[in-house]
Amino acid sequence: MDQPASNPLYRRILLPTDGSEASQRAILAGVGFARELGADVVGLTATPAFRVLSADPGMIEDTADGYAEASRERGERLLDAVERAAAEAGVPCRLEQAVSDEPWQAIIDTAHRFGCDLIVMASHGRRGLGGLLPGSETQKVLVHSAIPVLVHR
Amino acid sequence: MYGRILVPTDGTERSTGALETALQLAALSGGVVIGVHASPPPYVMAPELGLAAPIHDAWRREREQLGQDAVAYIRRRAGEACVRCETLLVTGMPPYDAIISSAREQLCDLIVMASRGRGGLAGRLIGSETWKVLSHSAIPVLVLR
Amino acid sequence: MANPANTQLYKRILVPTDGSDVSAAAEHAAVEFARAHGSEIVALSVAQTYPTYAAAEASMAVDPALDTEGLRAWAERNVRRVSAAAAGAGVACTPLTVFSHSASDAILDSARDHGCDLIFMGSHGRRGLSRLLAGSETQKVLAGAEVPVMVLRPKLKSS
Repeated sequence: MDQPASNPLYRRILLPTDGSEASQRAILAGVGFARELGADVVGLTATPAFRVLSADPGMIEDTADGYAEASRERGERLLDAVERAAAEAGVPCRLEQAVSDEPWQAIIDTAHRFGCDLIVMASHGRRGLGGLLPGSETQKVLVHSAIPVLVHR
Repeated sequence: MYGRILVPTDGTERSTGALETALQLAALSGGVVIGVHASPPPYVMAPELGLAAPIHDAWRREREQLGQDAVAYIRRRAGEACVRCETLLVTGMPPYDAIISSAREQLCDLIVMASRGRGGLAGRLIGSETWKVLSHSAIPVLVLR
Repeated sequence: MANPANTQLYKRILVPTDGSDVSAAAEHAAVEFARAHGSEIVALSVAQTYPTYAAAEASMAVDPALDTEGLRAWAERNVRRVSAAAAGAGVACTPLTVFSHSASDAILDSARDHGCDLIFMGSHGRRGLSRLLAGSETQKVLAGAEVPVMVLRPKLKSS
């Protein structure tokens, strides 16, 4: 990807998404913010690796290849939403899929790899409860991140 | 995008990073920075306060001065940055509560705060007040390192 | 008027010392206060070390400039001075030397760990916008303390 915009505040914003409604709101906010700053964005999904022994019905019924394929397709759908939002806002965008059992780690690593200087993410994932859940991925990102995190509701 | 930005200050240089970011964001949007200093509730002693009153008065004055210095600093920096600014001194409630209530009452759309409580490199990476704000805030919170 | 033990105002007072004249004045006042109120003292000296990066890649070589023994000896000298003053006034005193990157953190942690209900400290005292947020340890203690903090400021020669 080209050099990020030369805005002094934030130049490249990481937007992790898990497809939840909260995540979608955070994406829209992140893209809007990027437009205002003249920044570009990196959309990211992180899905767990396939395990032979798993309680995930998707994994039990599937082969490793089938699971990986289904995961990738789902990830692409989620990232499509980021790409659409970015395109509508005129914000340059790159998309990444990560396979990781620790989404927070994938988020940190991706931010580092692409030289992101801000992460925008939802306060909670799919469970739909208010506030910052203990042990949530957002909480883990907050503890380990070396860059600022904008926690969106 | 963020036009009413709340930035808490504890009166020490731990708060300057968040203030500078808040000022930059407000400059972008033509918005306003709302600086809030919160003094926690006073220490309550079991025996009658009478004999301790002079000490508590002196302590309270020191903390009030710290709060006034803190918001004066915010006003000065905002003036230098040509950003509109309001300041609040809140007493008698825990800092996270002061931050959440002030953000609500002042119709803020963003809170900017530092991640670290006291403790330096070896201490807690995320301050307990920061966690409480994150848990209770109805608006976005920008957590700086 | 005598202050009976069961309505003792402050049982245990934390007295940080940094070896300065301002600190010495606060120590003297703290000992007097403790004597008058039947309190005991925890005399704290913080040997301030400087943070190094905790990253795994950091070299394990010891910085020759870090004179740990020298720092400890300095810190213990300060504490002994307070202990001696306390002993002279008949005030019980617990000496405490702590290594820390942050004097204010060490003060706040020690106050909590030792159940102190008052902190008595000197401040080098300058206030006003030019000194705001300059990292004053006193400000940090004030901002973080859950117990009262008595701040002794040096009297200005002119005002």
